[in-house]
Amino acid sequence: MKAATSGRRAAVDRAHSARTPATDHFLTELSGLLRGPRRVRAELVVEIADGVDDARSALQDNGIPAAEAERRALAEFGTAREIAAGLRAALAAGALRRLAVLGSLLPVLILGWASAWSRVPDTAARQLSGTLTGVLYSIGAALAAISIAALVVHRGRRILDRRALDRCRRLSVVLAGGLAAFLSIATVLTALNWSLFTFTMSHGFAIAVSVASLVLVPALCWACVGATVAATGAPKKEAA
Amino acid sequence: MILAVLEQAPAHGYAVIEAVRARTGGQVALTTGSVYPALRRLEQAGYLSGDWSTANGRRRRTYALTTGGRRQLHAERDRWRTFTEVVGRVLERPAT
Repeated sequence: MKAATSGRRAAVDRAHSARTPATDHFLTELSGLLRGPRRVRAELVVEIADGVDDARSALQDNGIPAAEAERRALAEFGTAREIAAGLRAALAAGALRRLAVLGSLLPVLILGWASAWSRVPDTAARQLSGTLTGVLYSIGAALAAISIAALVVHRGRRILDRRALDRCRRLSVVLAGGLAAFLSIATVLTALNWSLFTFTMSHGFAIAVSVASLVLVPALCWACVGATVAATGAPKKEAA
Repeated sequence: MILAVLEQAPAHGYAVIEAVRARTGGQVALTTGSVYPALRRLEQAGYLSGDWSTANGRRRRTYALTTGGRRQLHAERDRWRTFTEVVGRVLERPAT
């Protein structure tokens, strides 16, 4: 908790160097309410800090004293919670895009893995790889299913705007289509006893596909969690 | 309105607010709290592209209209013209 708070404070500190406690408190609270990739959250806070500074400077240019200008600038922005609610849709859309890219790669990876290892003799290495990647694929597929269900069926329609929701639906179609295509191709290849692939596959390719799985599937899981949290996660009440 | 303002030149968030205020003679004042989330949503929709640049020692996020944004702006303009024309026909006093 302390680490998370110090991380938020660091993002806020990067936002601007000369601020008063009121603006600092507003930005810290905003940073604590946002959900999504750290870099994107930090950028949003910097941008909002810029906006507060611009508004304050404009008011000061009109002869309003500094303290009053800051108070009005912050009042014009609204509460941190209101801003966070507006920005959450943007964060969720970015998280969904990452999920879509990684999710669409999953069927390709599973197919590549199955094809590659079918050429390798049934050794301990093959069994280990099979167990490991099988577990990873299962986790990835389960998380993808959970996040899509959470986004599309449950909270999605309340939190995401119509465009983002359409994107969710397209994503679920892409994932379902990809898995269906994979199953179809796998069935055909099984019927052909993998003869189309066995002469082209080598141990090297099999290992490369497994390593790619070890990287991509956890990334997919991370994207699933990120997308679900960004789109449906309730913000914390108050930054510490 | 945001797309229309950015049609002329890229701008950062507060410049968008000021441009709308100037172009409407102060009649329309977008609230700062709504503009920044709106800019991000338009960017996610592919209508704007946002880039960080440094000016006067400050990093700023500047938004520019994309080709998709330009298309959307033209479509919105057409819809608005049709709407005002139709409503105008209803509201205007018929010639006697």
